Amino acid sequence: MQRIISHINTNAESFKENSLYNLKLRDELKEKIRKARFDRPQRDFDRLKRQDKLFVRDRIDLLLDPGTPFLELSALAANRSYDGKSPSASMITGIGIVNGREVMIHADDASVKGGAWYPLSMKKLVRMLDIAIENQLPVIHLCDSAGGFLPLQSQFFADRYHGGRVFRNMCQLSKMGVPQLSVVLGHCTAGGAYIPALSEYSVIVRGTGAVFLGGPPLVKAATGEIITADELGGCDLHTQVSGTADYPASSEQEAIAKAREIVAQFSRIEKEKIEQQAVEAPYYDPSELYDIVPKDNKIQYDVRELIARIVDGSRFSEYQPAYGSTLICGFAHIWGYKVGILGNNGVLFNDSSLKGAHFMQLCNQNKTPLVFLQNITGFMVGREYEENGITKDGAKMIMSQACSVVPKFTVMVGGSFGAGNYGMCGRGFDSRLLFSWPNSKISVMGGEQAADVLVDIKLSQLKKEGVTLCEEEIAAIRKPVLAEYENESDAYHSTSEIWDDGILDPIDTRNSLGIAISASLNKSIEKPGFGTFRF
Amino acid sequence: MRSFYNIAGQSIEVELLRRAASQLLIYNGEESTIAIKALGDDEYRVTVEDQSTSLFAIQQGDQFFIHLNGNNYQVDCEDEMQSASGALSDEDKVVANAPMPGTVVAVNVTAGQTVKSGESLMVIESMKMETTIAAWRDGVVCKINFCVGDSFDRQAELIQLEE
Repeated sequence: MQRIISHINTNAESFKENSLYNLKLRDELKEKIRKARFDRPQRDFDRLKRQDKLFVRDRIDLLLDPGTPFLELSALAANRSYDGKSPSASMITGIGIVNGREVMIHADDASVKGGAWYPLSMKKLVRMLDIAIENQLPVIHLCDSAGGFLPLQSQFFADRYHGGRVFRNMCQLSKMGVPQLSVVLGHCTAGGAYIPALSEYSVIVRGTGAVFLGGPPLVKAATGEIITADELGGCDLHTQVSGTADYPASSEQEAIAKAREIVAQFSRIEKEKIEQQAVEAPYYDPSELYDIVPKDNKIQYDVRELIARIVDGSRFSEYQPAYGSTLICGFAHIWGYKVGILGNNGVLFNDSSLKGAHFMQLCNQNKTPLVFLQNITGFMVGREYEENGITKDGAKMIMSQACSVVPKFTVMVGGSFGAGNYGMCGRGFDSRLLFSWPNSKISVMGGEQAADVLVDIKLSQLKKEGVTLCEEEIAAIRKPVLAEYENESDAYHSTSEIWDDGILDPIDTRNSLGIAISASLNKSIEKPGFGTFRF
Repeated sequence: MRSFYNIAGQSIEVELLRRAASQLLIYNGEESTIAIKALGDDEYRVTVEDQSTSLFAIQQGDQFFIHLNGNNYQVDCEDEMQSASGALSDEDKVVANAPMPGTVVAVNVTAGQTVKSGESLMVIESMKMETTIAAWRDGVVCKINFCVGDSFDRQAELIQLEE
C-alpha cells in the first residue's frame, strides 16, 4: 500500500503557532483529567481509610492485568455540571484487560458524596452498558454507591434512558450470554442493589459490603425496625442465608483477586475475523498532529496529513482520488486491523456525498470497520446544489452510514456542524465509540451564523412594531448568543454531557482506535443490508 | 509476487514464487531456488541453490539493513505503484478555479510577483471555512481576478500564473 507523502513543513511559522496552541490545549486537557481523577479533599481520602476502603483508582489497578492498557471513557463527564462536584460523574468506566479477556469496567467513586449517582452518572452507566451490548463485552461492576442523588431524582429516575435502563441493559446482556460480575465493596442501596442481583457472579466484602433495597434509615422510617447495615444486607447474610451474593471475601484485595479468578473462568468468545496484517508504526511522527491542526478551526487543511499520523506505516489506499475531493475515503490499517477511513477536506458536495455513500457500501461488503475523522461545516447550500439534488445525495450518504453493519468509530477532529454531523456518523448514529479532540466544536450551525439569523428575526419583529435598533443594540443581541454558542459548542461541554466517550490527546488517537477496534470484534458482523436510497 | 528494491541507487526487480519446501527467485530471467531459515536474534541462514550463508537483517519500515560477510548493505523497498506511475503534474496548469462559491478573504500576492510552489496566493471563505489557494508550481503571477471582499461562483477563474 502506498505511503502518504506529507507536504507540510513543520518549521513554518504557522505550524509553530499551531503547535503552541495545541500543546496548550493538551496540557489543559491533561490537567483537567488529573483533577477529575485525583483531586479530592484530604478528608475524603481520610474517610475512605477509616472505612478500610481503597480509592477507586487503586481498585482498578488491582483488577487489571499489569502493564495492559485501560481505555478510560468519559473521564470528564459532568465537568460542566453540578458546580464540578461530580468529577467523572462520580464513576469510572472503561475497557480493560482482566486475565487476558477484554472487559468493560464500571467502578463507583465513593470518595465523592459516597459514590451517589447524579443524572449524568446514570447516563454514563447506561452508555457503558450500551457499549457492552454493542461489543459483547463482559462487565465488571465495582459497586460502592450510596444510590441516586435524591435532590435531583426527577432527572434520573423515570425516563426511558434513566435508572430503569441500567437494569434493562443488564438483563439484555445476560440474555445475550455475556457474563457480568459485581464486586460489592460498599453499599448497594435501592436500585443499586439490583446490580449484584442481576449479575451472573458476585463477590462481597465482609464488614464494608452491603446489599439492600432499603438501608437502615429507610427501614426504621418504614417499619420502626432498628438494624445495622451488616445485619440487614452484609456479606454473611447474603452469602450464607439469602443467596443474593456468591463469594465472601475478607478484604477488598481478596475480593478483587476472587474477581480475577472468576473472570478467568469466562469462556473466550471467538472474535470476528477481519483483514489483519503485521503492525507497523506510522512513518510520520504522530506528535506532528499538534503542528498540523490549525489554531483557527475555520482554516482548511488536508486530512490526509492526519491520516498519515494515525495509520500503520502512514500507508493509505485512497478510493476515487480524483472524484468528490472534499471527502477523502480509503483503506488503511490501524494496529494491523484493516479499516475504511472517511475524512473531510471541505464541505460535502453532491459528488463527495455519493462517493462516501458508495465507499461505505464497499466497506460493508468486505467487512471493513469504518473510521470517521469529522471536520465538517455541512453539506453545500444554494440553488445550484439543490437543483443537483444535494439533499437527496446527502440522504444517500446518511442512509449508507446509518445502515452500516460494520463497527463504526468517530473522532471529532475539528468542527462538526449541521447535517455534516449526521453524514459523518455523529452521536446519533451508534458509533461503537466516539472521541473528541480538545479543539473540536459541535453545534447545529456556526455561532456567528446563528447570531445573524437570530438578529434578523428580532429586527423584523421589531420593524413590525415600528422600532429600529442602532449598531450597539444589535451588538448587544449578538453578544450573548455568541457567548452561549462558544460555551455550548466547546468539546468540554460535549464531553460533560456525554455526547462523546471522552476527549483524546490527539497523539493517543491511534492507540485508542486500536483498543476500540479490537474490542468491537467480540461481536460478529451481520450480513449487510440497507434501506431505500433516493436516486 | 513481484517486488522492487533499490540497492546502492540501483533499482532491481525480482519475482518470488512459493514452492513446497523452498522458494523460487527469478531475477533477470534467471531462476534459482532459495530457502531462508530464521536463526533468532535477527540472524538468517540463506541457501541459494546449494550455497549456504548466514546474515543478519533488520527491517525498519521500507528499509532493510543487512550485515553479510563483514559488509553492511541498505536495501530500500520500492512501492510497486510508485515505480509504475508517473508523477501527477500540474506543470501545465495556468489558472486556479474556485472549488465552490465564496468570497475572497485575502490576496497575498501582486501581479508580476514570482512565487514558489506551495506559496499562498489567495485565501477564500465559503461555508464557514477558509481555504488557501496555493501556487501549484513555481511561476509568475500574471492576473488576479478578484479583490478582498469580492464574491465569486464555483469554477470562477481566481488567479493566473504565466504559462
